[in-house]
Amino acid sequence: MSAILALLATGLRLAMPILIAALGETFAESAGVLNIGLEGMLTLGAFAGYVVAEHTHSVVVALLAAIPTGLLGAELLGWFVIRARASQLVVGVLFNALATGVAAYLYRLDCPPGVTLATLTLPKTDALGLTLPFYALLLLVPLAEIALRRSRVGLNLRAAGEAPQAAATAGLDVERLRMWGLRLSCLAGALGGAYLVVCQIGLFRESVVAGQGFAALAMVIFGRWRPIAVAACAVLFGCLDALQFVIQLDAARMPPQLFLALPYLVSALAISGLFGRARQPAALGVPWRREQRD
Amino acid sequence: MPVYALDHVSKTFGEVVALDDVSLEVRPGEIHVLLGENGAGKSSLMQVLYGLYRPDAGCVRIDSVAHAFESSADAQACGIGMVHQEFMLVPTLSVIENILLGRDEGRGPFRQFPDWSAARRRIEALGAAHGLRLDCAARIETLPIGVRQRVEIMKLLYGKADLLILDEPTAVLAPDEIAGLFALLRQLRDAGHAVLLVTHKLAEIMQLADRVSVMRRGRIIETRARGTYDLGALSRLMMGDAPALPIRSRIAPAAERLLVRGLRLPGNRIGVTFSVRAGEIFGIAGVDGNGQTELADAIAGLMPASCDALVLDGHSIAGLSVAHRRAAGVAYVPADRGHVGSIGAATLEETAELGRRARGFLLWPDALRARARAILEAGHVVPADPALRTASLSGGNRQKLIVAREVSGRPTVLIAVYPTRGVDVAAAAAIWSEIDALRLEGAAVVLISSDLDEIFDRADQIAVLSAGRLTPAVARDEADLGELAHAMAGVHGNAA
Repeated sequence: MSAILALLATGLRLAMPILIAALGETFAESAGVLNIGLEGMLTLGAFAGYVVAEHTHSVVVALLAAIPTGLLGAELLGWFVIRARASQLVVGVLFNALATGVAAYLYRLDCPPGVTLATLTLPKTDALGLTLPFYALLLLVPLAEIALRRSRVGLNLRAAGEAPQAAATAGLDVERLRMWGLRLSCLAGALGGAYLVVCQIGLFRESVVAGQGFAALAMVIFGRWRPIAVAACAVLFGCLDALQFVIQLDAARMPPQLFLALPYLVSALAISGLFGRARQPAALGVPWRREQRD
Repeated sequence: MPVYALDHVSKTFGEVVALDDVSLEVRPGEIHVLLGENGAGKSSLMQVLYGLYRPDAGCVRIDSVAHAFESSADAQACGIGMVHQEFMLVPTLSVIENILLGRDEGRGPFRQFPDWSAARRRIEALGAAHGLRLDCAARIETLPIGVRQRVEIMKLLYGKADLLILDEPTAVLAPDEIAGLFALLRQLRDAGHAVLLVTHKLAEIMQLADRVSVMRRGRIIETRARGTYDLGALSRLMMGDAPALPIRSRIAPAAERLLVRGLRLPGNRIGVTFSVRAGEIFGIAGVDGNGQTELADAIAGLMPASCDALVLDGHSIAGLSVAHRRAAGVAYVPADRGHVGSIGAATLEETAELGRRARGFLLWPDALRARARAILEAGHVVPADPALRTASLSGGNRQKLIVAREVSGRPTVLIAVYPTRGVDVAAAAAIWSEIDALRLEGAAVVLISSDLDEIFDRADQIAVLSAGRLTPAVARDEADLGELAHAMAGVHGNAA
């Protein structure tokens, strides 16, 4: 019993960065913006969190560093995909490459390599090994569910992603709504990255995110664009990740790469359409142009 | 409720004069019909009234106070509401969510939480007052078109619109639904609303309009009150001296050319069966979205469909690809002329060449241009410059080009889906004279149309496609308009 509980606790812990990022991405995609640059946002957030933590030795301040990072990234991405209506896919992929490069460069410029944030003390750890920041961030799940599914702004966002022309006719500013969706996604991505470094592993490499941003994109599909379901899927992903640690220790003769791939394999299967196909927001990824007016 | 008026409004786009000194007045408690062919300036006029275009001269007056609308939000604030031809509803949201969308009302922090139950009560009260009952919780995508239109009207009433503008509201409706809509509009008029109905369908509005304004070439030709107009007078005002449709000459029906037996459309186990003889037009009537496009695509080979037999001149074409079917003599004028029938970015000569079967790898410019010129001339396409982009043509000319191209291969079977939808009378005349010439050569024509008048005017045999099923064909002379209309609405005479 305690083994299962331990597994669940580890799973929850491992899931948190993906969970936050996926929650934010749910808003962007509901508004019609596919933020492929999420992976890059996690990397940038991870770097910002690391640098700030190193200088301030404060977990809270380090996590807050994600806010300017996310907003800055959103402005850049938003200029391309919303203002200039460039391909969200191409811009996102390039952004990821750019983010890795920028983070690696700045890291080498500023930080002594390989130093871990050992001096950092996490506020209040409970019996399960879960920290106060963890519980604080978990509150985002019901908040996101209410905001997207029950509030007026959530209704507006979903309209912008399903039928932008209809939303515009109803007097909504589709570009602004999409920009806010993208901002939430970038904020959440940066926060996820900062959490990963500051609260989980305590060191930075440009490869530290290792596909978790892409996993978050998969979780949004897996969770059918509903915040609570997306969060549950992220936790499942975390538990599989935790499971692979356990199996790796037990079955030493199996190639470890196989287990590393397990959560990604399961999420690939989950979104493959084999288990019922979900309908994505109708205008997801489609740039929107206000009708030509004189 | 106020009187809405356009006061000497003019609007030009480049060199095109869309509105030329137009004045129009819509009073509370009247149904005012704005009648005109496509391109007469009706939509420009509506866009000005609704704040989407700024006029070059003139203004909108509400109770004789001049207004300059910056956006449609300004117009809405002045009590003007519009139902667009393409509905502006979010399909995945519920009726009530759509009605509240964009409305700045709610409770709680930042007024973020709409008061759903109060909104529902208001919708129900409005519905009871106007005979407009809606299920607030139903998702839009599950509702039939006629109900969606009612949701659009409810949206306007909920927003306290005094003037309701409806753009071609009957285009998507079955005859029964049209009657329902008209009853609703009369009720709204009697409640004091001003209704401006914009249409090019003359016959339908004869019973409905309190006043009719006829537009032609950017001007209001005349406004007439009920009792002072008749069908003939209005149609002359509307069309000016446009050519009439060519008289249909009859030839004796010959041998069977096309046989379709048991062709099963998606979601139907009962197949579609009909046959067309040489020199005959087989008319398939029905409301959009009842399987028309699928049936045409299946015969043309664009969509796989299982069928018992698909025979052209005694040879089965069921297993053939699109290219082989075209080679066997099938030509296709698809419903979507913008995306399926032609390519906007291609030049006219490229569009004219599309689908032609020929040997050789290279396109020789001189030959290409010569072939294109012949097709443009035969189709009376204006302007007839082969180097122009297809997207620069008007809808009517684009359609003429597609029809001329399909006819130029002298096919033995022509499938024409909505061949004259949205084109003006002159273009429709040109299109029909080409199709008729082909028919007189002995081709079999399958005409799919939602326009019952066109079907009656042109077809030799008539059947109705409803929910993917085809009624038995009747000869045109024995067909009964009422029965066909019922069949279009999905009411089958022999069904229990």
